[in-house]
Amino acid sequence: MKINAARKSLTTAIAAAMLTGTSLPQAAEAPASAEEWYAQGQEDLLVQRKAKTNNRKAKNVILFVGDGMGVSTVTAARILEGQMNAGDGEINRLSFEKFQHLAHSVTASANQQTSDSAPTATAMVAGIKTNDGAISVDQTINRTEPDAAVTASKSVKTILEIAEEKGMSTGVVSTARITHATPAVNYAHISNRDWEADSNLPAGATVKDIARQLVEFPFGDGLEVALGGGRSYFMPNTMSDPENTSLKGRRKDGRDLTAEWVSNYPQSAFVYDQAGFDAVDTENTQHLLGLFERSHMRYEADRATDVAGEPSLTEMTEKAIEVLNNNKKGFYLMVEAGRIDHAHHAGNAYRALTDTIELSNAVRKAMEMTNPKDTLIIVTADHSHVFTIAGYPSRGNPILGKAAINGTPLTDSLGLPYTTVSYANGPGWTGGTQRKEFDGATEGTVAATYTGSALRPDLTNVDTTVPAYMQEATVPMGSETHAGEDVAIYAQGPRAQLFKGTREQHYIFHVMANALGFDK
Amino acid sequence: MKKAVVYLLLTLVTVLAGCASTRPVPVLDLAADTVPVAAEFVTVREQADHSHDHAGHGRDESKEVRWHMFRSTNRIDIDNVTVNTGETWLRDGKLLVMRQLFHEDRKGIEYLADDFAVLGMQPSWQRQAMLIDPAVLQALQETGSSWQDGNPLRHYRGDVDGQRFEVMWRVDVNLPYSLVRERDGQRETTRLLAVHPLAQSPWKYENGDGYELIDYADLGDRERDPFVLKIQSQLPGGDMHHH
Repeated sequence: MKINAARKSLTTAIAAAMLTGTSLPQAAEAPASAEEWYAQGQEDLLVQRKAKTNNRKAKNVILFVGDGMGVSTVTAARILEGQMNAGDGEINRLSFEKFQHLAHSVTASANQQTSDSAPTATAMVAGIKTNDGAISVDQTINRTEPDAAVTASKSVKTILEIAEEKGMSTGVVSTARITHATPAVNYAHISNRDWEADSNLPAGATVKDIARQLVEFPFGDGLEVALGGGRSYFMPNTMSDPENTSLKGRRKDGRDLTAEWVSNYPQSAFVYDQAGFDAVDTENTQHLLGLFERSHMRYEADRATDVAGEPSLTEMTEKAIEVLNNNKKGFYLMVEAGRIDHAHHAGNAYRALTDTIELSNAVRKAMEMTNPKDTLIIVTADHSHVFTIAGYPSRGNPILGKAAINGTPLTDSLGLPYTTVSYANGPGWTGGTQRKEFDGATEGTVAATYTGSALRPDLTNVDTTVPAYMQEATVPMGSETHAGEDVAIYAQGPRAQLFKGTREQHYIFHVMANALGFDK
Repeated sequence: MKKAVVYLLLTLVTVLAGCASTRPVPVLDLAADTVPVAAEFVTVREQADHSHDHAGHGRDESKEVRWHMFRSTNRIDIDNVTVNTGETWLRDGKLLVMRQLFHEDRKGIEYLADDFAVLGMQPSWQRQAMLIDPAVLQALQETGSSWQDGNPLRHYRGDVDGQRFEVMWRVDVNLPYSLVRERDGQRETTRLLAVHPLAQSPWKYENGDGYELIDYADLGDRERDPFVLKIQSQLPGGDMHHH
């Protein structure tokens, strides 16, 4: 098949865009003919054949985790980003989708078919599988082990701890609370992920709560960067919050761990708002703690409305790398987009996808600031969600809209329109005539009054693309659940080629350790 | 002697009531600072008519819920005494926080700004403090005014967004004396039974400040928590958008 010059130009542009993730997302156009599709495939093949592997030792490792970012979430986010840029969503790629190396990650934990974030994140940073709720402790520990000595005996060393021992700089960044499971596995060891402040511990417990473990971190010279949410877990319940002054901290032990962070470390800083964050002198700050919300940080879609202002995931990633780059021995950094998971749990696809796009932006920033020859960047998820892309909508149909062919809505067997994306379970269950609703009089459920004979809501006049729209769910649950299928691992940089095939999730640690030379 | 005192008091009340009936009822001022109060209400939900009954899901029975409200400048506590649950609204500048309290478990669910956003809720402090959206009240037609037990009332009626309202409003405390809403054959009636200055509240209340609070966003991580499993039917769901 001949390729004329125009087609070659088009396909070369597409291939170039697919080769590197550092360029800003631009409105991409899909090939328009069989010749162009064929040429695009050929060009892609050429790119892959020319690609070289990098077997060097890594100086730096950045592990990006999209919490709950299953493959369907990545696909839908890629389409949404493309459509937001007025281009072809289906041919668009998020920054990390342009990485050369890819593997499947099996997310089942030691005792779960479908896992929560604690054992899956532990797998990634400690190289073992463990049980539900466990934060970098092995599977032999009791789920609610209160004893510090027992916990220590069951603890497993993390990649961050090893990096600190080797004199590297380390950091964790998250849009969730910095004490939440995924960031916590890097620096804490505890049997119950919910023990984030001392007030969460059972009476008589001797194990330290997660917030305290961050501030009293015993390896190396301590974490250089911790940026996220969860301020109230570090402040006493007698102390007013600096942003929401009528609200207090959660700690019962009277300790202000934010002040302890500053007093523990020389050249350190604690910031809690955008102005403080912007003012951080990264060349002269060796230990930076930023806690921008009492609990989780804002969704990217809502961040602009925050009273005190707070940085985006991209801005936090940039600041973290600037601080960590001060160490010539290199760094290990975990960056988590923690609220993809929360939005899915709430049945809100819009915020799950826009937070995924922001993760892509953060990865792009990290790519700009590092050298692929010496920095291994991994992007993955801890687990998936029961989020589906359904029906037979036309290419270009709004991903958050109703499934339609060339603008004509598709209908279900009841003759009602339906959305392209939806959930297998969760709060979006509408239930038709079987729908129950909460009855305050009995604290139970009663059959809801239902006008008409429809078994599903009629979405004809509903704008399902608005940010607040809650997608429908099949099974009624208070919170949508995780899903058990594999998630993807995207990688570039030294030893990234080791990611191939279907791997167990804890393999990620072993590649990182190998790339950093820790396993010699 | 006792009978004479009682007679004198009754006479005095009657005379005062007569005077009161001629006094003008103060104008509605929804922008005024809400008075700190403790109030007792009863809410009844019932079928307004039976034309919407369908096989299997018609409901004739009325349900009566008695509850208390404790309203101060930046905090509103609702005590659902009938079923031992509560609700707390906190205001910090523009920030609103809501806590759903479950006294038996000494636990609560905390809703923050982003939780309201994902649930499509647009909470308003005034709506919580007055039990009705002030804009809705102002959209109704005033039908009269009166004094009831020495308290000034203004009367309103009308339809807003497909819902029929009938309101008797206590303008001195900016609370409904009687609030009737009707939609799709369902009628909900809320009546004020008693109101006191907050500092003189006759009702005790566990405000939940010492409870374990779980973020709404964290419920998905509590998949094995017996408390979360127990209360999941009481969490907001998709019917909020579709009905």
